Amino acid sequence: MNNVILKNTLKVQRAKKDLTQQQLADLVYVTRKTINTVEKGKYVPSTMLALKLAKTLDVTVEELFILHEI
Amino acid sequence: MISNVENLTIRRRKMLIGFSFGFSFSLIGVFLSRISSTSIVLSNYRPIFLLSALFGWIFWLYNLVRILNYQKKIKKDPKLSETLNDEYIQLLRLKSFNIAFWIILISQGFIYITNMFYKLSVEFVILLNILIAVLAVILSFIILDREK
Repeated sequence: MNNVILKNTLKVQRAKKDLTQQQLADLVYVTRKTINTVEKGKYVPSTMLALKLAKTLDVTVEELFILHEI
Repeated sequence: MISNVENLTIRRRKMLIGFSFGFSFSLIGVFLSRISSTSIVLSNYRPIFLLSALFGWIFWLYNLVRILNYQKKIKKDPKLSETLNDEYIQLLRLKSFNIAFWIILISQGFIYITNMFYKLSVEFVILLNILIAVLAVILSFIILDREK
């Protein structure tokens, strides 16, 4: 479990809901920059934000964030 | 169309840049005008240094008032405040303080070594420390916060 990276399907799930980064950011009360950095994998969100994102996008946290073994 | 949050984020960035710019000008101007009062070569430029210090001080004060008004406005709306100070921004703030700590520490080393060869005045060291401390925090935040 040491060599694992966190990937996310945020962009795909966001597209399914037809939401822009700004619209999603407004729904979970963060800035667009935060959504952008999470989407690019540069920032790992807190449990709270991950749950908020999952709830807003009607998916489970596991569907949104996936651990990939290298 | 730019949203209100995006607009306020851009405004915050511009205010911080203006604050740093004004602060640097005022402190450097004050320092140079002090030097020029004792130096024959620089004494002719004293009005220019004083003017730049005054310009910097006015610009700094203007941006400080803007920042205070901005904070007051945001505090009235808790949701907006939460959005503009989200966890990522808080992380960037923490990182910028961490970077500033190391910059200040390294600069103290440089000042100490310089002082061994060339006696620095207490006033110069105090002004330099204030300038480095303030700029290190603000500029590192501005750099970290830029769009990647």
